[in-house]
Formats: sequence, C-alpha cells, structure tokens
Amino acid sequence: MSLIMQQQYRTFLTEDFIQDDYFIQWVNNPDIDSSLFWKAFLANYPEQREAVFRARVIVINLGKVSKGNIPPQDKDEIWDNLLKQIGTDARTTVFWSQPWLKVAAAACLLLLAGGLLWQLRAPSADAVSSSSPEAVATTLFETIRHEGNAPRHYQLPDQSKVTLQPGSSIRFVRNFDGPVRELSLSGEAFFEVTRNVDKPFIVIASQLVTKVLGTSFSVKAWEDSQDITVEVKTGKVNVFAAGDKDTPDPETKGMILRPNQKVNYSKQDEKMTRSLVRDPKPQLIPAEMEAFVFQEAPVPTILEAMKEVYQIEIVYDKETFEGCLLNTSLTNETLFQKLDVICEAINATYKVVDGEIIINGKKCS
Amino acid sequence: MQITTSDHSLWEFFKKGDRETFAFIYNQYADELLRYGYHITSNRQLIKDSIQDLFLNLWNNKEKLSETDSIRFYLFRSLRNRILRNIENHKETVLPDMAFYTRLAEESIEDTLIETERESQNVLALKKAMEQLSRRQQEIIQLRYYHNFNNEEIARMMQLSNQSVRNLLSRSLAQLRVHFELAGWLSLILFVCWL
Repeated sequence: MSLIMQQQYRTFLTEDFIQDDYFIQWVNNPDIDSSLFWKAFLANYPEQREAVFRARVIVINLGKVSKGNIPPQDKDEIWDNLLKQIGTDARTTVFWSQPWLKVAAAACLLLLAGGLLWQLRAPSADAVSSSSPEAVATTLFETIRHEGNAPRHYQLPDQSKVTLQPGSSIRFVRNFDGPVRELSLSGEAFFEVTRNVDKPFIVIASQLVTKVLGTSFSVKAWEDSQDITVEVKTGKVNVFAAGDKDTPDPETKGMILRPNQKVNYSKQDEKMTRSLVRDPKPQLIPAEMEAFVFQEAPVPTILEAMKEVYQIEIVYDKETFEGCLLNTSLTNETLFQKLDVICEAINATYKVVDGEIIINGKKCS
Repeated sequence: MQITTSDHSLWEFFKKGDRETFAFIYNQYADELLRYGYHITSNRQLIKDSIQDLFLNLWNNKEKLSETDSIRFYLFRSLRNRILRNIENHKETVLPDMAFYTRLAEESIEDTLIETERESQNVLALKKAMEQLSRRQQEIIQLRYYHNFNNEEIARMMQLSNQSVRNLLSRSLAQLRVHFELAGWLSLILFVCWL
C-alpha cells in the first residue's frame, strides 16, 4: 500500500507537495508512520529530495509567518468574564459538591501536603501555553513525563499499567485511537498490558519496536545510552528494529522473547542479542510452586519442571542425566542458584545461549 | 476530519455540566482561537467578545450540542460565524482599539527582530508578502499551515466549495511564490543533514 502511495508522489513538484494533506500533516505533526513513509519515499526516489526539502521549508515558514501575535492577557481576561457570567468558580464549587469525590479530595490534600502541588499544576501550565506550533499535537497526543524521584504508576487508556522511572516519558495517541495501541518511550518503563488480540500494544523506543498482545515487560531506552533493552516478565513479546516497521512482516526480521528473556539492542551496530534476565521469575503462583518438591527424582524430571515453572527452554541430553537422582524443591532460591546446585551435584556445567539454558555433563555412575 | 474518541468523551463530560472539562476545553483552544480571530479582524474587543460569547453559548447550550464535529473544528467554525455576525451588527458602535493595535504591531516587530537572528531574512520577507494578501487569503493560509485544517474542513468553515478553497489557496501560494524561491533555496542548506 505504501508503495502505491509513494508512486503517487513520484511526479509531484514543490507546489504540489505544499498543498498535499498528508505532506502537511507530516511536516507539522509527524508521527511514526508518516516519518517512516517519507523516509522510505526519499530513499526510493532520491530525485525528489530537493522538492521535498523545499516544500518542507515552505510549509514550516508559512505556519510560522501566519501564526500572528496575540496579547497574552486576553485569554485570562475572557476566562474571568466567563466565570462571572456562569456564576461560580468552576474549579472548586462543583468539584467539592460531588460526594464521591470527597475521598479523592482528601487524598489530593495528602498529595498536596506531600509537595506534589507543583507536579499537579505543571500540566495546566502547559495547557495554557498551547499556542505553540505543538498546539495541534497536544490535541492528538498525550504525553506523560515523570520528573519525580521515585518510580510512578500510571494507567493507560486501555487499562494497561505503566511504571515510569524518574526522567522517563511516554507519548501516545489520545485514548489509543486507531488500529493499534502504540506509544513511544524515552527512558525506562515497566508495562503490564491488558490483553487485546485485536489491538496489538506497541512500544517504540528509539530504534527498537516491541509488539505484544497482552503481557508484562520492561523497556530501557535512555537517549544517552548506547543500548536498548527489553525484558519480559510474563507472556510473549515481539521485538524488531524500527527501520523494519513498515515492511510487510516486520516480526520476521526481529525476534520473539518469551518470559524471563531479554534482548539487548546496540544502537551502534544495530544488532540484537537475546539472553536471560538477571533473576528469572517463576511463571506460576507460589501455591502451585509448592507442588514441585523432589525426592530422589531423576534430573530430567526436575529440569522439565523448571522449564514449566520459568517458561525457559533448557536444552540437555535426557539420556545422559537419567541416572542422576536428586532431592530438591523449586521454591526459595533463584533459578541460577538452583542450576548451580544441580550442576554441582551432577558435575555438569550450564551456559545461557540466545535466551536458552544449555547444560552439558556426563552420565552419573 | 479528525474526530477522536477523546474529543467524544470530553464532549460527553462537558454536556453533563462538568466545569473542569469546560475549563480544560477553554484552556486547550483559547490561544489558537485568539490567533485565528486576529486574522479575521483586528478589532480586539470584538474578538474578545466573540470568544466569550462562543464559550458562554457553548456552556448554556451544552445539552443541545451535536456529537458529529470535533470540538476544535466546531469552535473554529462557530467563532468565525460569530465574528462575522458581530462585525455586521456592531459596525458603528465598536471602534477598533487603536492604541492596542499599535502596541501589537510594535511587539510583532520586536518578535521578528529576535527571530531574524535565528532564521533567515527571507522569513521576514515572506511575512511582509503575506501582509500584502487579502484577509481571506491570510485566513486560509493560517487555517491550512498554522492550524492544520485540511481543505475540506476549511471549505466547511468558510462555507466555500472544496474547489474554491483549492483555488484560493493556490492563487495565494502563487502570489507568495517569489518569496518561497528565496527562502527555500537558502534554508535548504540547513536541512540537508536533516534525514
């Protein structure tokens, strides 16, 4: 589809571009799709570069010169008059008169006392200055920027939860309108995504795209860092390079991450490396875990149980370890501690390769 | 036409009489509407009155509002109609605030001077050329390139056919063309490393 669209612009002149909706939208209000589209267009039709560049400058300048000046005090004056005409102070009276809000109001007071006054006021201060060329963007996108000192939870429009680390921000189309739930991330965040098979959840962090249907995972993408990492806590996620996003099957160019796996993407050499998270988490609830207590059990039985509990692939030769019997349980220690204990007992070694565990050893005598 | 679900839910809240939502909508769009107003008329009091009327009317008639338009489009179109109606009604009674207008012009020159240091002289020339266009032409360019409405929305707003909007726009752009040539070429150098 995008190829057909590209062809349509093949013969455009500067003056055609500056009157084209999709072009103007991209210049004034670029999103990921349009940026990728025009980038691809320029790559395919380099002879149109000049026309596109010039048209872009013209559109920007036309916006700039037609912005005009307004007296800064007008906005407040009109609002004050409006409040007089409507009757009461809009911000407080109605708010307090709602009984169900009293609890919330009390909570708000606590927050205010906690010195969050500034943070609560900040967004409205932003809204006041919406006269910038960003004005249109703010009506389409919502940005959450977390400047505090501790991680903070936010709820997204689809009821998914995101925990933002200080200094991180996310941006998404208001209400997740559109065919996908797409957001861009700068910094570090943990996502707990509500399941919706019809509307994939997509996190774009710099050059790396993570696509899921419903799962929990974290993404680390600090601008000043050379690496982007994605770690999966539960469920399955798809990770691929942003450059492949508008190819027909971007997933085939990336990789699938299962629970407890992580991927490290190097911005410099554009390479993905899959491994395991530092402390893999059981995928079963503690009560279920208690069933995994082994008395004189063959090691393959124990390893199969571990595969199930951590949803991690463990590669080993079943025949080799069949004769090795152990007593153990799967609670308490971490996965790697357990592996250390088991391997020591049967005189084997393990390593993590491409997000899987590989165990090598000899038959037990 | 952008009709977002968020607009829809904002509307819903607002129609139920939620003043927070009213304040939010005002905050979100007042600046843009003021900027637009000043392109239709330079009568400050008339613009202020019209915007105040617009929002007051919105508040008083909230139950009757239709849900078909995006809030932003609705506000722009209503403001335009209101200003034009008020210009007709108050032709003699409302005098332009000349002192204010002079001040505004001075501010605008100051702004331009600051901008000049960062941007090319040609933007300034383009600004000058824009001032040579008719109000309608300026309005259409602002709606298209600053407020980001598409031709169809502009047509509905200005009660013109799509074709008339396209024609008016191309004609205005053609008049400005000589300035694009300059501005375009010089700024091109700055944008080479952009991709």
